[in-house]
This record gives sequence, C-alpha cells and structure tokens, in this order.
Amino acid sequence: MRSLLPLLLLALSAPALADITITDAWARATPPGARTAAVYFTVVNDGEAPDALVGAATEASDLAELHTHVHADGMMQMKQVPAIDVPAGGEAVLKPHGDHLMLVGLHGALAPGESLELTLSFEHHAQVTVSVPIRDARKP
Amino acid sequence: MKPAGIAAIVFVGLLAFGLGAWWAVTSSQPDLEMAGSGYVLPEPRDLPAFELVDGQGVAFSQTDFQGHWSVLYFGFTYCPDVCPAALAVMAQVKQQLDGDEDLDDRYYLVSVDPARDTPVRLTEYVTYFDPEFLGLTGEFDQLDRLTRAAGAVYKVPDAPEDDNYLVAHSSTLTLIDPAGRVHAIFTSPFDPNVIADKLGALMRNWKAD
Repeated sequence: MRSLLPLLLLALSAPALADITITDAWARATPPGARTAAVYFTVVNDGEAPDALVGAATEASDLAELHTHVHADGMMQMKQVPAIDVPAGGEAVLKPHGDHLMLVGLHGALAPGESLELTLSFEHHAQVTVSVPIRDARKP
Repeated sequence: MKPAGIAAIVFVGLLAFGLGAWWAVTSSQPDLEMAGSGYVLPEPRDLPAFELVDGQGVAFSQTDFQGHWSVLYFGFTYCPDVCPAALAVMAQVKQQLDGDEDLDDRYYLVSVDPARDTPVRLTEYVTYFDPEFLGLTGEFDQLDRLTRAAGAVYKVPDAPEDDNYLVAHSSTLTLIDPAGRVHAIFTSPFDPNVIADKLGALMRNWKAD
C-alpha cells in the first residue's frame, strides 16, 4: 500500500492533456450602475499541444464573452470571438485594450477588494476555475 | 511617363518635403511639440451650432464651452475596457492640473450612446472617476455636429437585437479653448503625465485673439 502512494500522488497532480494555468487574473472594479465589466488574465500552456480558450462563466453576470479589439476607420471596436488560441508552450494574454473577457449583464457592482469566481472552458483541457480579485483601476 | 514628368513629380515632392521640414522647424516651439501624443490644430476650429443636454438634463450648446478650457472624451458607459481606462487617465490629468488655480479646466464624457446613457446615468458614471467630471449627450444629429468638429468618430448599431450592443468609437481627448474652438487633439495610447504637461503648457500660453 505504502509503495503505491507516490504513484497515486503523481496521477493526481498530472493534468490530463495540455497543461493550463491561469495567472495575473483581475477584474476592473465598476462605476455605480455599470452593466458591464472587463476581466483580464494570462493563460499559460506548458503542454506540448496547442489549446484554445472557448468560453467562460461566472455568477457575477448573465454572460461572460470573449472579446477582442479591432482597429478600423479610426475607431476601436470590440468584437466577440468564439475562441482565443493558446499555443503549445506559449500563452494568451488578456489585457486592457486587447483581448479581454467582457461580463455582460452584471448582477451587482464589482467592488475592489472582493473577488469573483470564474470558470474557463478550453477546447481540450478540463475546465479551470479561478478566483479573480477585483481591483480599483482608477489609479495607475 | 516622360522623364520630364517624373522630374516634375520629384521636384514637387522635394519641394513639399522641404516646405514640411521648414514648417516643422519654424513651428516647433517647445510648448507645442506633442511628441506623438497628438496634435495642435494650426488654426483653432470653430464649433458648429449644436444642442445637447448635460448631466442634469439641461440644454448645452456650443457657447457653453466658452470662457473656460474643456477636455472632451467621446465614449459610452456600457464600455467595459477602453472608456474606463481613458476616464481614469483624464482624472489623473485633471488631478495634476488641479494645483494650478489660474486654470479653469473642465472635463466631459460625451456619450455617443444616448439610448442607454441618460443624463442621470452619465452623471452617476463620470463622477465615479472624478466628482467634478461632467456628462454630455444628445440626439445623434446634434452629436454628429460636435464629433465631426472635434475629430471623433463613432458607430452605433442601426437596429440592435437587445440592450447589450457595442458601440465603436475613436479614443481621443479633444481640447476646446476658452473661445469655444477645437484647439488640440490627443491620441491614444494616453500617457497622463505627458498629456498633463502639454495641456498645461497649451492653456498657460494661450492668448485670446
């Protein structure tokens, strides 16, 4: 029995396929009455196979959409995208003015110091749930 | 094309380049140098007549920009990413200039999404970033008059399916002088320190015609 323990621990700690971790997650605290918010994070893929972020869900809002920014005709336009690629051995960075997660239909204000729970879905990897701290981004 | 034609084009090109260089040298006073952060209009541009509403629902026309400096950002409150970041920059700029009591500077979010951004909603939103920030909005034909003159562009979907539509818009800060004319336009990415420096210099060095 004792000799099985290391094997068991190894099995528990080794993720199935791609090796996905979420770092640097934060959500922008919202002004009063806001119906939308943005969430940012980095998806790190230490695996040898590419993957893609294909969806997100949180109890903080009705919807959590993957968005990118398109620059056209002198305008910034947010566009919903079906997936954000995470290359093998690489990362996808969701950040202000770039790809981001847009929460639509907020259920309440996002207050600084609190956090929201976010479940991310991938093309291959199992769902990942992260706790996202809410930050007051009014100061640099 | 004949060689003479090509030579003429080259000559005209060189002439234009020379004029540009001459203009750049003669007009590059330190306080007008924008260093990639935007540009000062060679001739301030008059605003056309328009009728908007402020954050109290009170009528606001082009003459209400006269007698003080105004910094305008065009956006909408359902915007989760670009607008809050820009308004945070605008708040930092204002705070840096607040020390100079000689400057009468006011800061506005002009919402190009009047269907969702009521005056009450706008005021609630802008005062989160700074208690003195002001809101403006209005009918599209009136907004268009201001945005065109202010160098801003936007596009609201014609027939949105629901209330969750997105608005495309330029992200610039427009400076209107105390004569009520478009004076300078700052382009993103915004650096609050650079903008505060340039804005302060433009305001302090301005002389009424």
